[in-house]
This record gives sequence, structure tokens and C-alpha cells, in this order.
Amino acid sequence: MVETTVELIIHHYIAEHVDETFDYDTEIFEEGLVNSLFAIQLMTFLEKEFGIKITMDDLDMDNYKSIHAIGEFVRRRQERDER
Amino acid sequence: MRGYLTLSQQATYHAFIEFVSTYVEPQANRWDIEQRIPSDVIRQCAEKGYLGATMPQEYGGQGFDYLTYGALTEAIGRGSISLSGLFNVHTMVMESILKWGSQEQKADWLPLLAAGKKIGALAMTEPSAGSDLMMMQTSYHQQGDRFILNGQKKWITFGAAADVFLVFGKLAGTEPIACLVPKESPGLSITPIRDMLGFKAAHLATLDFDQVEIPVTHMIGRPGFAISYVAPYALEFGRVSIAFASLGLLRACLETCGPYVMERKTFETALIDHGMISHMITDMGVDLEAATLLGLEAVKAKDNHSPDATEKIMMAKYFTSRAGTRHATNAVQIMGALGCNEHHAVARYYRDAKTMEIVEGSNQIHQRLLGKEFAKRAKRRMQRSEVAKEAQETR
Repeated sequence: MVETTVELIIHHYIAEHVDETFDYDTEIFEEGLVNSLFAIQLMTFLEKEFGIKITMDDLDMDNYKSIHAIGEFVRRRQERDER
Repeated sequence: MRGYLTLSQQATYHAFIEFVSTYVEPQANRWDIEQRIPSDVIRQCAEKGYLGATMPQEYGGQGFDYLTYGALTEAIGRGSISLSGLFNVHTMVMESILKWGSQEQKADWLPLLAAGKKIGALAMTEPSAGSDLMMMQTSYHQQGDRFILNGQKKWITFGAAADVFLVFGKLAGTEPIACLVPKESPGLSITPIRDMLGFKAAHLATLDFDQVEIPVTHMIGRPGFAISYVAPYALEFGRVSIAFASLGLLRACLETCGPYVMERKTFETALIDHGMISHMITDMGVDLEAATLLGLEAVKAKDNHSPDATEKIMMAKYFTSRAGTRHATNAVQIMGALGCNEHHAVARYYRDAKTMEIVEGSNQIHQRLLGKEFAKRAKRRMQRSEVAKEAQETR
């Protein structure tokens, strides 16, 4: 249930910025759905929406490649911040 | 701008204006003619705490919000666009370290930079790589716990006055990285660039790196992310600086031309009563107001940590720098021969305004990104409204 909510929110935000249809496994940067400028917007969105702070330790493209990956990353980051 | 600030912000803004009126504005033409800002002016900015404007207090900064930082750069830009370049590049380096640096890097560098004991500059542009950073030729190669840096950076604002550079390059020819390189590093040569059109006193320089060795611990962020994350994050602060410094330049045009057109007469009529002049001043005032609102919207979004800030900042930079060029051109036209003399501030506004259209992402790059985004958004909006209409009709 939590997983669905996080992914849904991310999907909704990205869908506001792209024309193409995509699913939770689509590689949004690799397939050119969004440009490099969007990376900073997406980072800011994730920080604000989910109350996390993205730092140098989080610079790993695997964290941002798809909606599933971003959802996983957000949950890991939230858990780390709670500890 | 003052009218949009709270009472406490107005008091802070007033202090910025006092500083600029006393230490900046009276000297700015001379700095341009001599093509350098004296080091004691940089020291005065440091003593006021202005160089650490946006840094948290734990690192010795002022902890200003971005609206207050905007007000500071507006005031500085009113006095000297060249000096605003210092705030621009120095802030971009500090913000990059604050966001992407390790705890050690923050502890080592931020207190020195925030206090102005060290000056930072961003080394991104190369002779063949400006807007298209992927064309960078500057290279890093790792040897044990050191990077070997080779290449050339050009048009580096405050490059001839900075103590440390955030240098962008490619690791092993592929992965973009950015490292802090102290100016005293053996193999680094710094050559001042003179005779620019604008930014004449902004200590522009060429940096040549010949087998420069730096510890790998000087890397900011991680390999592969310098162009996609570190650079755009830094440039967002650069664009805030350019937008507000251009706003200061716009105000300077109006505050110079306004009194002049009220007093100067031709054909027994004050200039302001000639329709052509009145038109120019009207557009100047309206664009100043529009640019102020765009700028304030942008920094409020940044202060709210809104994802929209990226676009709003680009819009503010684009609009205000273009308006600066248009109205500085008109200011020269209004002032006539006076405005064509390098001892008059208007000539400096004219030269500097053009530079603001080029730095921190040329306005053509802004058009490319913003134009496409506006068109795509409009298309999506129309498609959604058509879908909604069809759904309603089938009910």
C-alpha cells in the first residue's frame, strides 16, 4: 500500500512533464523522456514531497532510472533518515 | 523592489544600498577603465559578511534566504555588474560544496569561503565548450590517491582573483567530474583576460592546467554527475545572481535617465514631453516592474524549495537580461554623447547588459529549453481538455 502511494505520486509528477506514456519500469532518462534540467527539478520534488535530503551519497543513476527505482530509493532514504 | 519587501527585509536592503552608494557606485567607472576591482573592495564585502550571504550560520555565513540574496545582488548590480560577478561565482562554488561536498570538504572550505578569506570561482567554460558542456576537453586521470588534471578553461569570472576553482572535466575521457583546485597548485597558470566588452573589471582569466596533481578527496560529488547534477545545481544560483544583478542594472538605467529627461530640454520642451522619450521611459519602468515580479517569484519558489524554481529562475534571468540590453541601449540614446563616454555610467550599463545575456546559460539556451517546455505544456493542456470534452459528450 505504501509502495503504491509513493510510486503513484512520482508517476503523477513525471507525467505532468512528459508527453509519452510510460510505466513504472520505463527508464525515464535513458529513453529520453526527460532532459538533464529535469534531474534537478525531480530531485527538488523528491526532497520536498518525501522530506528527504539528497546528498553526494545518493548520486547513483540506479536510484533515478525508473519510477520503481525512485520509489525504492525514497523508502531507503526515509528509513535511513529515521534511524 | 522595496515595496515588495517586509519591513525587516527593507532595512537589510537599505543597508546593502548604503554600502553600494558608499563603496561601489562612486568607483565603478574607474574600475572598468582600470579593468580590475581592487582587493580592498573584496575585503570590504567580506567584512560585511556579504560573501557568505547564503551560507548557513554554522559555517560562518549570514544564512540569508534567497530573496535577501536577490536583494543583495540587485543592490550590487545597481553599482557594478563586474562586482556582482564575484558574488555569482563565489556563491556557486559555496553552494556546490554545501550540497554535494563531504562533511570534511564542508568543514575545510565553507568557513574560509563564507568569511571571504578564500575566494572561489567556477571553471567550466573552455575555448570550444560553453553552452555545450559535453564538449569539454579538460581531463582527469587517476593515479592512486591523486588526480592528474590537464586542459584549459577560458573566460573564468574572477579567475585572476580567486584562491580556489571548482574545475569541471572528464575522468578517463568519459565521466564528468568536478574538483576543487587551489590556485597555488603546481602546473596551474593563470592569465588575466583584458579588453572585454562588458564585465571589464571582473578579473576574467584563462586557466591552463599542465599535469596538475590534486588529491582525489578534492572531488565534489561523484564521477559521472558533474554535468547532470553539480553544474545545473550551481548554475541555478548563478541565474539568480544574473537575474537580480540585471534588475539592478535596469533600475540604474531608470534612475539615471529619469531625472535627466525631466530637466533636459530640447526645442523648449522637457525631454519627457517628447513622445519618443516618454515611450522609452514607460517601457523601462514597466519592464523594471515585470522583471522585479518575475525575480521575486523565482526566489520565493527557491525559498519554498519548490521544483518550479528551476523554470522560474530561468524565466527571470531570460526576461531581465534581455530587458537590460534593451533599456541600456535606450539609456545611451537618451543621454546622447554623454552616454557614449566611458566616464559615464550609462556606457558601462550598455556594455555590461550584453554580457548578462551570455553568461550562466546564453539566452538562446534559455529559449531552447523554455520554448519547448511551454509548447509541450500547452499541447498537453489542449489534449486533456479535448479528452474531457469528449468524455462529457459521450455521457
